[in-house]
Amino acid sequence: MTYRTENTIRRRLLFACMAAASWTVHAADSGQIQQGSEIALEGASGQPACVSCHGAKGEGLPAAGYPYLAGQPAQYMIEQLAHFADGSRKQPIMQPMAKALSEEQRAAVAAYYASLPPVFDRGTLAHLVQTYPATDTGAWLAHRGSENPYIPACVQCHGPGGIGVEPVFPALAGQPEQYLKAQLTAMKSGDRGEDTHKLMTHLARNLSDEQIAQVSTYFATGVLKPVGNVEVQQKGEVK
Amino acid sequence: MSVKAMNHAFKWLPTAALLALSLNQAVAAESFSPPPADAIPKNEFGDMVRKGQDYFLHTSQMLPDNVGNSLNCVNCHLDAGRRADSAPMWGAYVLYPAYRAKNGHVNSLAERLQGCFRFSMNGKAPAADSEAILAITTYMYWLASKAPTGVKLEGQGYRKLAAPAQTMDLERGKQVFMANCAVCHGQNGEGRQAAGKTVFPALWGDDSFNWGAGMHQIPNAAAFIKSNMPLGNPGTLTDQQAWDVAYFMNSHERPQDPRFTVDVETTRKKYHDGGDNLYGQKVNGIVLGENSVEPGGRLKDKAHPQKD
Repeated sequence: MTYRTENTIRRRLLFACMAAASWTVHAADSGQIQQGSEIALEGASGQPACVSCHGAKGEGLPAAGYPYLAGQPAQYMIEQLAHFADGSRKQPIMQPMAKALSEEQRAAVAAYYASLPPVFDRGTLAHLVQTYPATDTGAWLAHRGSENPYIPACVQCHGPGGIGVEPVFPALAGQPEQYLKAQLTAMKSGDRGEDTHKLMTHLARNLSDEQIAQVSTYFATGVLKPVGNVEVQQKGEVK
Repeated sequence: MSVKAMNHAFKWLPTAALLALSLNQAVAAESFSPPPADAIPKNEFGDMVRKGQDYFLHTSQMLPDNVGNSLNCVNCHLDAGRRADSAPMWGAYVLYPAYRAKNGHVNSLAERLQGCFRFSMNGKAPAADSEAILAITTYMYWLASKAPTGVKLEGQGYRKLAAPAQTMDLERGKQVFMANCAVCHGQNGEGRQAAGKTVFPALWGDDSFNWGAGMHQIPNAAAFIKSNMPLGNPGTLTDQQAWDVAYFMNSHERPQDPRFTVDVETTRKKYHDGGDNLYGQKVNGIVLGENSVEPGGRLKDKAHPQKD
């Protein structure tokens, strides 16, 4: 066999392997979601099913303060499960469950919940624009932030209306008030692991308890009130 | 001290106090705070201020015939143009009309604003007497309430950085970008959207500012980045990192300079003849500016609607 032929075969083999690999990754997507749905519905490694607290469709259980997971960015959920598992996000119910799951299982369950439709209407909420909610402190923090201490508006990272932005900014709109409040408080005290570039662990320290309560109320309910709140007239077609 | 001397001293005391006060004021005049953001007057004047504020926050959406990309004024002038060291509008308002080397004449504030639309927004300037320019000017005037005119207030413009200690480096800049910026601005600087709405602006490429915008100048970009990025946790990059990542950002192609004349080399000589200005320079084997798309962004599609 000449060197050249051998090389060609090698190249073809490499190509075949790459094609197979990319197919595997692709196939793993739906397989992963399937695997994730089984964990969510039936539990795994002796742990209870996710649905028992997070709802049949990942819609959460607001009365108990359990958050929705449906439609949250997969990477965000993978990171949170890792923080539960390594103990940096201190939450007695979630810690043992996340610990019991393998990395692969966590990725699968995150892929499953990311694939579910969110509890709110993304299209409608994305149009929510409030430029001057001067009478509602929570809304002001959400849409305008704070000047001193400096806190950018929540929607600048969490998206218009708090609908969430891939890959690491979770949706906030319609999460249980109790849950949002507990998360901001935990970020402030350092009990919620380290988020991307420590953005929130840094910002939460600048929030007063009163501001935490107000912004939590706003994202839990206020933001979902009909789009009668929209203040900027849409003059043009939105890109 | 005699009674007379004491009297004499007391007589002068108020004057001395006044003098000290005015000296104090002279020093303090450099720093400035705009009126509280939620204190816009509730009257006809205030309505125009509000309108200007809204244009400022949602420029791309509200002025679709003037903005060619998906940027908004607030992307480079944070907190609705209020934040110090983020080229705040109160800092700019009191410095116009001004001579600008960029175009070699005295510019009115309206002309300066028009420049933003042409370059930073990669679009078409609204007329100087349009409602948009009036509203934005009114908003700026309100922000600058009670500020002295003709003074560079503390926090005006972007806080200049000392020259980089090490020569700026693309590879280091890329590493800074991937580690600190890509999660929001995307691995290719394309920005990020949610449900079709731009959340994080594009830093280069066809949907970003064009080669005529101030932010393509590395000292401006480095200064902005150092004081303001990552959003929410600024001050975490070193000066060197800010220089390197600004260099990396501006080493990519973006829409053509609207002042383009003859060819890239001529345009560079005329408008970009500076040491670290990358327009017309070869980076990674490509001469920046040679592959730029025509300026105008989405406005071009409007001028020539595509057939179905």
